[in-house]
Amino acid sequence: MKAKNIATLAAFGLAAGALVLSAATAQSKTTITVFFGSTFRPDLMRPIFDRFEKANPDIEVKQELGGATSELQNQYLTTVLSAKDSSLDAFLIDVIRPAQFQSQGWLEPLDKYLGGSAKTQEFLSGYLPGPINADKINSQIWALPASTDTQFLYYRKDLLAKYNLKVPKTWEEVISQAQTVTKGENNPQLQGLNFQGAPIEGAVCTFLQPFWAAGGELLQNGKVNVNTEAGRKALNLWVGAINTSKVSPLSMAETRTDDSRKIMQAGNAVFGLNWSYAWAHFQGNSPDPTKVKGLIGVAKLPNFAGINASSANCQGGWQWGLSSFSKNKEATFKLLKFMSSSDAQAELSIKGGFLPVRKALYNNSAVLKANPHYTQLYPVILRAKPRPVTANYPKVSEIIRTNVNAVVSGAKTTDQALKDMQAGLEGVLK
Amino acid sequence: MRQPELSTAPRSQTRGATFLARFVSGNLRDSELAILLLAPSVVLLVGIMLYPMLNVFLMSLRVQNTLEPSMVTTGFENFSRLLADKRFLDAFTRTIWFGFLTVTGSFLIGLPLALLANLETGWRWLVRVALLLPWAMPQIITGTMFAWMFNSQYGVFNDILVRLGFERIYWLIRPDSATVAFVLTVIWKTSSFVALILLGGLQSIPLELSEAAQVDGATSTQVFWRITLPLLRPAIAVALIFRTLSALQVFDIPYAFMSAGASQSLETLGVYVQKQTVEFTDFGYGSTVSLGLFALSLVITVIYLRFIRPEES
Repeated sequence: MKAKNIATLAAFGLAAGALVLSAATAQSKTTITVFFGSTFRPDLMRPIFDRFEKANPDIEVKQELGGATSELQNQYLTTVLSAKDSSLDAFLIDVIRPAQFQSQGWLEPLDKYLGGSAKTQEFLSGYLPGPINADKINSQIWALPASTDTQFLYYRKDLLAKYNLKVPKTWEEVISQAQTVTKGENNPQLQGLNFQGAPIEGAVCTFLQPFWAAGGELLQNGKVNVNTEAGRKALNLWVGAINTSKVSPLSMAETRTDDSRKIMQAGNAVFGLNWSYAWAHFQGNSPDPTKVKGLIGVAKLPNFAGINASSANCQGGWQWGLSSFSKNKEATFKLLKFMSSSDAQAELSIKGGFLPVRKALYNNSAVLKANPHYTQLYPVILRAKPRPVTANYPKVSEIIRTNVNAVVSGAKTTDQALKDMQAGLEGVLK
Repeated sequence: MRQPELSTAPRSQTRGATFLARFVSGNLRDSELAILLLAPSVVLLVGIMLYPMLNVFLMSLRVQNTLEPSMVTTGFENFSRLLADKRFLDAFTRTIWFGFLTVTGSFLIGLPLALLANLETGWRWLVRVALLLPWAMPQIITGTMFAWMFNSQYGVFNDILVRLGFERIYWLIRPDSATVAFVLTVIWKTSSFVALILLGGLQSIPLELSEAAQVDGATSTQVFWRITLPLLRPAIAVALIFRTLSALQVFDIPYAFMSAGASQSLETLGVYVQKQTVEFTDFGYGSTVSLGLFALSLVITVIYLRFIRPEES
């Protein structure tokens, strides 16, 4: 009996000791939670986070994955941050969000972590100007660029070669080439021109890119100017592709960014508009199988015949934000700086196709080997135009994308949609 | 009538004693004991229901400038904005129309289902489990699942249609087919709820009544219309109120469909509240819209209480 008592006591003591010890070590580690969308290659981010953890043994990085589209992630972040919740330390936000987030007080200004404004200037000098402009508000820096982005025209090199077609330079050429190829291939699954017409954030670019190519500007002399010939040309491009030349199926109205990528990756699109991340997927660096490895060419977005626009590219990209409600701001900033470093940037670019924000990486041989189209498209990336930078952007975005979707689905005529956009934007944009 | 049991303690201990003394000695008056036992639930109700409701009323006075979202004032402008808001009026009429369609549909399917589940067969347990499943599934899962099934390229419904030789239907894309898809999904989900409530009502109808009627020569149809249905009225009333109120507040399913590509034609009041509150972070106006929804629910409830309840007696 006595031995049994001693044994029980000893076992109890050991268990209690182990519990206390593990609790003690658990408490000494800082856990930071990082939020980003599920399409931002968590399989590539995790190894980079692991390297950071190795270099900083007292910090543990947990990744929290969000919705597949920009506005779904935004709604989640809005809910968490409106409640001033500290559960997210850092998050990856779309390039259009810093202005809104900063006005709500959800972002922590990063100048002091970078060592003051002089050191900040030095730090930022290696970055591309476009992304920095999105993160700089009132001469302070509110987010660190993670990647920049823009849309390209991806095309099937092999199909174009088969029909002796040259890379199209205008939208008119794209449509006629798409018609030639789809008629010749006679494959009901093959789409001539694939784009995003679902009411997602990317649909704003679906409108703005041809709008800019047609010489349009959202704000002219401080006034909203969207119900114009340029607006008509932009919307009719997509309506025509579906109804007149029939190179795009009506299902474009429910096609989102990753749906587009999957369609092209399965070999079912001749031309497709998509962001930079799709390249890595097409080349096989993807959780999904690819049928188009080595068959995809990348070109800049076309112009309209006879119109010489300075830029027809939407500036995209993602920014690392430090939550102003975070309880581990110092540790989180260390992670953000690590993610901004050349190594992390290069790895994401080589393995994931993400456009780097550091100028030097566009001359890096490893990056260019994985992404041979960077050299030719670098000027396009530099000239990409931002969407309206305003704290009211959610309303602007909603007006444009729902009207684009309505036109693509056939629920509204082009004229009605332009009227509604003009009226709606006048109330929220100045 | 039983006399209320009085405390058996001597008068000197209860009359004139303080509340605390009575509490300690276990001699609280009945009314005091009742208040004490109800107190935790009342606190919970006030905290979970009353406080947020008051908050919504207060929040609706927060007026956010439409051009400059950081400029916030206090006033009643949200209400005047609400009455002039075309989008709100569209959502309002749309919600009522959808509500009418889905409530009617769920009853047209739910009643036969309840009758089926009431039949004395060996499969009764299977039918009842099948009835329970759609209602048990969380709404957002139902919405996402059906949105995927209605997808024009990859959806199961179009796959079946094409295999049978029909044309592909662009369900979520065209406004009218999106409405059909939405109504079908909601009917699928809620007819099981209606069936379960009606089943409870059917079970409480004594068999002797229909047996006696059949002995007197009534056909099954006559039994159904003259005996079953009238006796089912209370259950129908309950199902009707629950179904209508949840139909007015419907959010998850139209939201899932709209995220999957359905046009604005599915925007109900619930979705519009979410859009203003979460997407535009205009908490004041979102609260105002939800007050509009509350007013609608209140009116419908009053109508039901006046017209359905008196029939019970």
